[in-house]
Amino acid sequence: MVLIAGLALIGGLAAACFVKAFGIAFLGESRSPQAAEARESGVLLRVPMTILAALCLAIGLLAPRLLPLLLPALPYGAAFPSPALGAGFVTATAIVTRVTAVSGLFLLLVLAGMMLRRALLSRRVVRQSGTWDCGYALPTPRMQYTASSFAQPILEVFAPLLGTRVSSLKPMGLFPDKASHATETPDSFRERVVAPISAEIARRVAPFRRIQEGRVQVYVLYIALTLVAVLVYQFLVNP
Amino acid sequence: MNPEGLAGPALAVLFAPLFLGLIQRTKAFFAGRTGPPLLQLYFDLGKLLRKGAVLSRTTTWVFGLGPVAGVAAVLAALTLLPQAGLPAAFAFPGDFILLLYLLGTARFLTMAAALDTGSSFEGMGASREAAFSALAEPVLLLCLAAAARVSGHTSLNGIVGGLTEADWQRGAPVLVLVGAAVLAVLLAENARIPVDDPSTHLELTMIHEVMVLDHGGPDLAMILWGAALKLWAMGALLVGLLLPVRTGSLVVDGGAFLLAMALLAVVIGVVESTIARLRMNRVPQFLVGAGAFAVVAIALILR
Repeated sequence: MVLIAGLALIGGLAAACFVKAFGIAFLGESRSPQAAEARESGVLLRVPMTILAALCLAIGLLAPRLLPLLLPALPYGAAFPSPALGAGFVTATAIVTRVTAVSGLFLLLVLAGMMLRRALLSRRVVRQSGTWDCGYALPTPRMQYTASSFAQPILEVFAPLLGTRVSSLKPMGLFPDKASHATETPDSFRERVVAPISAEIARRVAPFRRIQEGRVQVYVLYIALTLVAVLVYQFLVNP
Repeated sequence: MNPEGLAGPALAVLFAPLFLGLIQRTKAFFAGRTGPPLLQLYFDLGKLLRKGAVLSRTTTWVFGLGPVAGVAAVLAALTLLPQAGLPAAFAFPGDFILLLYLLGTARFLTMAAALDTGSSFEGMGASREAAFSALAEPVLLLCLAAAARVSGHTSLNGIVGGLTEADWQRGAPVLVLVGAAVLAVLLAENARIPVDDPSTHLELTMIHEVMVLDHGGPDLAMILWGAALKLWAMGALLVGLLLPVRTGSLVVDGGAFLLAMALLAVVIGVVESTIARLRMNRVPQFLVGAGAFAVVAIALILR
């Protein structure tokens, strides 16, 4: 149950994360002069990515066919052909087949919808205009949502866990001349769990640095000594 | 695939706009107005589909994909949902997870379409939607997991379509809690009061509506239709959980289902007429409260 709740929370957070990563980086107006200069890269760079993306799609859509290919990797450590594993495999294949059917239906409906949209709009007047700006005269790309502003509501909910540092300079006075706002969210897991552990390991193994000499001859000597030690051990243990 | 399960999605396509019309009429009744005709959304959709469009120069094809995918994902999700006493078109163990993630996909593409306009309003809407749906999704999943335990099934056909009176006698407290939590999620996910106000006109207070400010014509029709279908789908889920009428007769089961859906529309209308919407920073508390209901329901099962 905890697993299911965790899975669901991660699903929602992952969607938020990837909308942010994709949307802020690639959609809307360019957020910097450098981004405005961005050009599509050459064919040689795009083709391999297209192939990899197509393979991802193929794995998803051909999953019922590809699943049996995983079978040889499964039985290690288990007595195969075990009836439990076989039954589980049949169930898994049945599930995957239906998931693929529904996903395929979804993709077909999207395709049909896009074709319908194109057909409907092809005979109508389609005008180009600016994005709705609520009547403001001079909208600039800087007014768009940034990655920080996008993540703010989620960060607020999880604030006790995250320890986000905010450095903010609010506009002051009647004619404010400067204002700034910056947030920095440290990677709590890295700072509180990984960093202490790796620091401790580094401290413990520091003495061994002395034997790290740098000359190839010395390393060859280490190898020779190790071999001799292994040989001696072999002779002593089972002569 | 189960061919008679296609009746469910057809029912949704046919009646989802009427469901919204019924909510509008209930709200109008409480406000002392006559209100729009019950079929107003059908007229709106027809009008919008016959219109042209004004597209922002900033937008790309992502902008057009959002509304279309919204409809497509909910239609695909409806094939997994048993309705009106009929089994779902597709059923398998754990299908409710696919249902949730299809709705998640629709939301993802709607948010991407919102960011595609480069508007600060729409970025704001996408940001709020991302935060609130990340909280609503686990609540719904926990609710379905609890209902799965009560019904003893792992597919929506059994969880939603197969709950019997005996299940209710055994697990009434659990199912009542689950029903309350699902109703809260339904209101939050479909931009209803007390989380969002579907009839507000101020961009800064919107969540869902502000993401679709730039859509017009056929795109807006798709968005309105998709929203109506999603409301219908979650309503059907709730009714399936709360209404254990399983006589096996299509007329009785289907009639009871449609009657319960109409009642649900009236309940949503009453909720919208009698309580104010929450301040934006209270919304997470509302959703966490719904989550607490779901957790208590699960605790009652595991006891």
